[in-house]
This record gives sequence, structure tokens and C-alpha cells, in this order.
Amino acid sequence: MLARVLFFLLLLVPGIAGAHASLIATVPEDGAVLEQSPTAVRLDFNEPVEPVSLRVVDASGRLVAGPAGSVVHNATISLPLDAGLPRGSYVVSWRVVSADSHPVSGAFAFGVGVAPAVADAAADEPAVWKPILAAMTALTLAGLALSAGGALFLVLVGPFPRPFRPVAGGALLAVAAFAGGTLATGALLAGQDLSQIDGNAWRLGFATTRGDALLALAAASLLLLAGAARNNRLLLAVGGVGAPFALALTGHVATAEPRWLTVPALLVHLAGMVFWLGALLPLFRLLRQADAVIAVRRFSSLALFVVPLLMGSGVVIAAVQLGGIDALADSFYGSILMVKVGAAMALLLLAAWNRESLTPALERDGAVGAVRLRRSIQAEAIWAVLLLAATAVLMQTPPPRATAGGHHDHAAHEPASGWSVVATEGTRSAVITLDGDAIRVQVLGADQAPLAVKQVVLVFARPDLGIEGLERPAAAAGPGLFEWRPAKLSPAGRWDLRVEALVTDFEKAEFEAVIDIFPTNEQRRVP
Amino acid sequence: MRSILRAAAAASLLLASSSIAQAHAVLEQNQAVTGSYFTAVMNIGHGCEGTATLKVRIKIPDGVTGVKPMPKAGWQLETVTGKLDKPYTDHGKTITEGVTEIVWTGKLLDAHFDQFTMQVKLPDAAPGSMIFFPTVQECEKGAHRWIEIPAAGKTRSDYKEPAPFLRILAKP
Repeated sequence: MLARVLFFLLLLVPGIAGAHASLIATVPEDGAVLEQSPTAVRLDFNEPVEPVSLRVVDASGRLVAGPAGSVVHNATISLPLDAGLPRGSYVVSWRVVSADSHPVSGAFAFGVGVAPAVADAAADEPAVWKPILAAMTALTLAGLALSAGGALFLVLVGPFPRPFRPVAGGALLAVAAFAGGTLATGALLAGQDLSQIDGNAWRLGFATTRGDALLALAAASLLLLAGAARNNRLLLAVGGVGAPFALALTGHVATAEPRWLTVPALLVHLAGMVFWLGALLPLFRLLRQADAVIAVRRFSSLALFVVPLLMGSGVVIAAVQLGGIDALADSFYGSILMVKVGAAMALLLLAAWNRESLTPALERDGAVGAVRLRRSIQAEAIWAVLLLAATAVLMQTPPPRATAGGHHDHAAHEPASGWSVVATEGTRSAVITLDGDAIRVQVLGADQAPLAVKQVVLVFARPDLGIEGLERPAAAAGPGLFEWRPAKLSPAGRWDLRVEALVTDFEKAEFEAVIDIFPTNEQRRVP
Repeated sequence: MRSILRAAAAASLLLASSSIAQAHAVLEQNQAVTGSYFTAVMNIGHGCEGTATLKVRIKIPDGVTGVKPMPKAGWQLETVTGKLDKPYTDHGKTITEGVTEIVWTGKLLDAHFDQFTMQVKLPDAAPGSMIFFPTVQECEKGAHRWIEIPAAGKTRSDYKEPAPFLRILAKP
């Protein structure tokens, strides 16, 4: 403290105008890949400076060294790293004060054992989230089966036995579980542990396609609740189809190519699942009463139509996601898929037995037949739980098509599926597009025509993590178009971006935007 | 204790050198009376990343006319003329072309300091307003572009490479 006071008192001495420091070199260098952890981080300036903060942040945004503890020696500042750094990507963010009291700041990145800013933040994910996410997904599916499935049952098969009311409870369960899954997704992206969860996690999770899906699911659930309360078949039908549709807005399948095939297949599959599994509980309850025969018959004839669609759409989705028959045996995804298929086969066998043997038995001898049918449905329920669990795990697992070389990230070739924002400064604007693994900038003049700029530098900052300006130059990619590829920043999350475009030798235009950078197998949307 | 000694050492080092030059490019005299003839002296106190400055280019802002640069021994002087962004009238004639840029080419070591001078006629700008002289310093390694003009609500200290400024004063 005293040192700093003395330092600044010097500014009052006449004749000393003070100097504005600049960084000459760093150890490790920006973008360096080191074999082992450095023992210290060093910054060399052209003048003596006073450190304000020097932080080292890891790939999940956790502070691993600093901000205090830096050592000054003439014009060099170093921060010792007593505990070595584990393998991963790191950002060093620094802020110093020069003799002219102007703060100077910046950031640079390096990696230990990996290239810095590896987009896949999976290496540092707290392990607790995967099972929580799977559980939330399973609960969402169960809630959907109860609510949307129950609604479709009411519309297509028959009324519920009183006082059975699965639709409202199921809808609330689905929305709550999906919201929980969204929060968990955000926490995973932010690299937060269970104890560290904060509003950031919700914001990040909501900013993915899950946010859209949650809103759609909530809307469909409202329709379902209204339909159930007023016994309105139209509302129930719309909600019953809309709720599975909401879930099709997010996830690996929804973005798989070709979209014209996968999205309808997913819709059919979800709707079919919801109808079939959602009918189990109402049928079970109805069989307690004497007049279940009509409902069972009607369900049976509908199932004859729904089940092939369900199986067919499942095969289509599996084929797209696996990318090849080898992946079935080779990958984790393939193994879980086989578990799911096994459970589906068991359900199919039980359903066939129901139709061929148990339903006629019900018609002949009501009481005994009902007991047998209920036992069969109980067995089906157990297999259904296994099936839902397997599905929930599948939905969290990157499919083989995404990790196979060449198929990685179709979004990179589909500008329409990218994300862009327009930032303005005065009469000029910059269209910033985040597209696969590139960030593109197109500067437009006052007339909205492309403005030929000489140079573009992207400056990234994370004020929430204390990361100051991390500069990355963009390369010319066409007339007036610049891109930075591969656009990899670590840690994943929401970054402040400043685009510095050199319009003429003497004029610089600066545009500011906020962008979300996620690991490549997550979806992004306009914030 | 050690930090006090370090500060004292730095202090004595600073006091020993007569003055430390500004690392920013700035005008030696940064205020002038509106509409007057003014000798603009640009201080260049540092190279880029420790390397020598090879070229100093000063852009003439809108409204500044009658530009006459001062030649410098050992440096080539070039006056760039072109279309003016803001044409003006002089003695009844509309002037559309004029001096837009002055370029000095030579070599100035990072350890040295030099001044680049020109005489200009300032416009009748409102007292209190600022006129900026964007300056580009091209070096052996890289360049400094002192061209950032503060946006509304921000000051020069918010920027890394602010443009040299001239504050306009009222006529006495």
C-alpha cells in the first residue's frame, strides 16, 4: 500500500509526465501449447508498472491463481503457480497501472497438454450433472406420457375412470423437470458445481435451444390443463400433440441432417411414445371397473396403427444418429440404444400377447381377464421405465454421427442454422455471425452496403470472470468480410465482444455485442 | 519493507531521468484559440514494442486549413492533397480540395524523442469543443494508430490508443 502511495506521489513531481506501459512479451506465449504446467506466469512490459490484478482462469471459468500474489521485478510481473496446473486450457487476464495512472489490461491464452481454448469443455465438467440431467429428462418424458399421453387417450380412446386426473399432474411434472434440466444444462456449461449454482446457470441454459423448448412446453401444458379442466377435446388434442412437438425443438436429433427427415421422424416417435406409454396408467385404472372392454379394444386397434410408426421412426432416427452399423457395437450410444431396443421388443411382445390372448379373454370372462390384463400392464410399465431411462441417457449422449470425422458440426456449413447479431455504431453497422467454428464479421456503411475495411480485430472479455481484452485478429474472407476460424474460446459461456474495424488508416469503427460460445455439440440461439 | 524499498528505487530511477516522455502521441500544446493560426507540434516519445518509428502520418481534421508542415532534417516530407470532406469558402471561392494528410518518413529510435511540426489555421469552432488529429506511427515492428476518438460519455483514458486532441478556447 505504502509502495503504491509513493509510486503515485511521484506523479506530482514536476517534469515527470509519466508513461503509458505496453506489454512486450509473455511467458507462456499467447496460444502456446505446453507439455507440462508452467511454474509461473510472466509478463514483460516496456516500463515499470504496478500490478492491479493478475488472474489465471481455467476452462470452466474457475480461478486457479491470482488475483493477488504477483511479484514485481523492474518491468516484469510474475505470478508463481505453486500447485501445478492440470491438463487443460487456461486464460491469463492482467491489469496493471502505468506511471501515468492509466490502467492497461489484456488477456492471453495457453494450454497444458491441449491446444488453448479447446471448444469441448467436457474435460472439466463437474461429473454430478450427467446423471441429474438424465434423471430430469426421464421425469420430463414420464410427465409428457402422463399429460400429453393422457390427453390423447381422452380424445382417441375414451374417458378416464373417476377420480383419475393424470393430465394436470403430468403437465406440471413435465414442465418442472424440463426447467430443472435447463438449469442443469446451464450449470454444466458454466462449469459450476452443485454448490456453486447461480443465476448465470439459468441464463446460460435458457439461452440454448432448451429455452425455446421450455416456452413451447409450457404453452402446450397450459392448453392441456385448460383442456382437462373443461373437458375440451380440441384443447386436449392440440396440447397432446404440441407437448411432444416442444421437445422436438431441442436436442441432438432435431439438428441432425437431413432435417426434413429427422424432425418429422422425431415428432412421430415422440407422439407415438407419448400415446402408447401414456395409455398404460389409464387402462390399468379402467380395468378395475367393469366397462373397460370398449376402451381396451379401441386402444388395441389404434396401437396396431401407432406401433409400426413408432418403430419405423425409431429406426430412422437410430440410422441417422449412428451414422453406420459399426457404431452400434462400437459406441456407448450404440450400447444404450440396444438396451432401449431390448425394452421396446419386450413391450412389443407384451402388447402382442395383450391383443391376441388377453383382450379376448377379457371379453369372455370380465373379472379374471381384467386381473390378467392388469398384470400384463404392470409388466409393461416396468419395461417402460427401463425404456424411458435408456432414452433419457441417449438424449444426453453425443451420437456417433457427431463425433465421427467429417460429420462434425453440420452447422458449420449451414449459415441458416448459425446465429447472428447486428451491432451499430453511429450510422455504420456490423453483422456478426457465429457459424459452426467461425465468427464472421461484415461491416456495413451508412447505406447498408458492405464497407471495405482494412483490418478487423476481435476483442473478447468476460467481466464476470475478470477476463480483460483477449485479442484475436480476423482474416479477410471476401470483400468486406472477415472471419476468425476456428472460433474457440474458453471458458464456454457469455462473452462481451468488441469488434475493432479499421475503416481507413485514420478511422476505426468499434462495435459491441454479446455472444454465447458453447461446446460444439450444443445448440446456440440469438440471445 | 521490501515493497517500500522497491518503490523508493523506482522513485529514484524516475527522478534521475529528467523526464519520462509520454508514450502516447500528443500535441505539445493542446489548447488554442478558435479561428487562430496555430503551430501544431506532435510529440512522438516511443516507438512500437521497442522498435524504431519509420513514418509519422498526421491526418488533417475537417475545417483545419492552410496547412504548412515544417521540414525535418533527415526526414522526407510529403503533403497529401485530396478532396475535402467539408469544403469551405475562402475569399469568395469554394475550396473543395486541400491538404488531407502530412507524412514524415525517416527513422526515430525507440529510445529517442522527436517533434513533428506544422502550421495550421483553425476553424471557428465553439470554445470548449475538441479537434482531433488522428496520427499513425508506423514502426519497424507494427504500428501505433492514435485514432480512437472518445464516444459520448467516455474519456480519453478509456481508450488504449486515443487520438491527439486540441481543446478550443474562446477569443480573449
